[in-house]
Amino acid sequence: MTAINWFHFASPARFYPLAGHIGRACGLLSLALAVAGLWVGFIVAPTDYQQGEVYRIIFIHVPAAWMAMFTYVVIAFWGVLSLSLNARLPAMMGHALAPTGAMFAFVALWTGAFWGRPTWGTYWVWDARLTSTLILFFLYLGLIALRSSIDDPRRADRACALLAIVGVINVPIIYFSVNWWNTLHQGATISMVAAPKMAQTMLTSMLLMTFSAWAYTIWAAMSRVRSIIIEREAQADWLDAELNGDGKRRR
Amino acid sequence: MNQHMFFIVMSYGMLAICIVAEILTLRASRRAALARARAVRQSEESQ
Repeated sequence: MTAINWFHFASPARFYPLAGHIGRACGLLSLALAVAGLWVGFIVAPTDYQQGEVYRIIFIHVPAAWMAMFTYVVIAFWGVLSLSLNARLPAMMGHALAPTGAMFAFVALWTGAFWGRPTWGTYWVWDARLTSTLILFFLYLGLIALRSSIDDPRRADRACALLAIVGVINVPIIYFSVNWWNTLHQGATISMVAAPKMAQTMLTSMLLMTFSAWAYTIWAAMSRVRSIIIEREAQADWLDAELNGDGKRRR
Repeated sequence: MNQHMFFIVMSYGMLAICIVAEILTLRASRRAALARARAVRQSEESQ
């Protein structure tokens, strides 16, 4: 069996067309999974006997919260690679993921507020889970602002990698906050070591929407990283076809 | 029921707005990146 040489794709020139293929496939996959997830969530899954119809917000709230946390871990991973290998592509990947992670953090907070109002009787409380998720959203905004504030891309890469690595400590705090502190937010509904505490159809919809969010994030990151590569590698010869308008051949 | 629909519409509506905004931003940033890269090349050629 031939091992994949990952460093082969570390060059922006080789990664650019690959990102186009991966992005397109993930975009279509995300759309298909979202249609299936919404169909199961709104047509097949029954009304909850306690929460009524409003529980259907969890089909986007939970995937958004998971993606916001996971995306930050991935950005920190790219940050470690960027600093240790002094490579451009990992930094570009971190750059490309931050806006989508911020969007999911915002959606998690927003949908959580609109689920909390009818369920808890309030849009917001300063409990550990909600506050640490708000900090995650601010960390994403910080990453985006920090990159925009530094003109030299390589210096911006290093600064953002450091912020991502330092900020990743917030992710386990978010995850375990419901165990460590007395919070209004309930504990984990799904665990790797225990049976899920929800009906099969509800779980199916939530997982379909989660995989859709994964595919969407990959699509968005691949689309954004291609723009970043164009901007940062403007002088490279291999971009001639793209800049001359016949770039479709390279995708 | 109507109140629940309001919360559901507010949640899914915001997600839809965010996704549409991101798609438009991605398309605009690609066009801007291409324009900037072409401008860099033109300024180099003129020098």
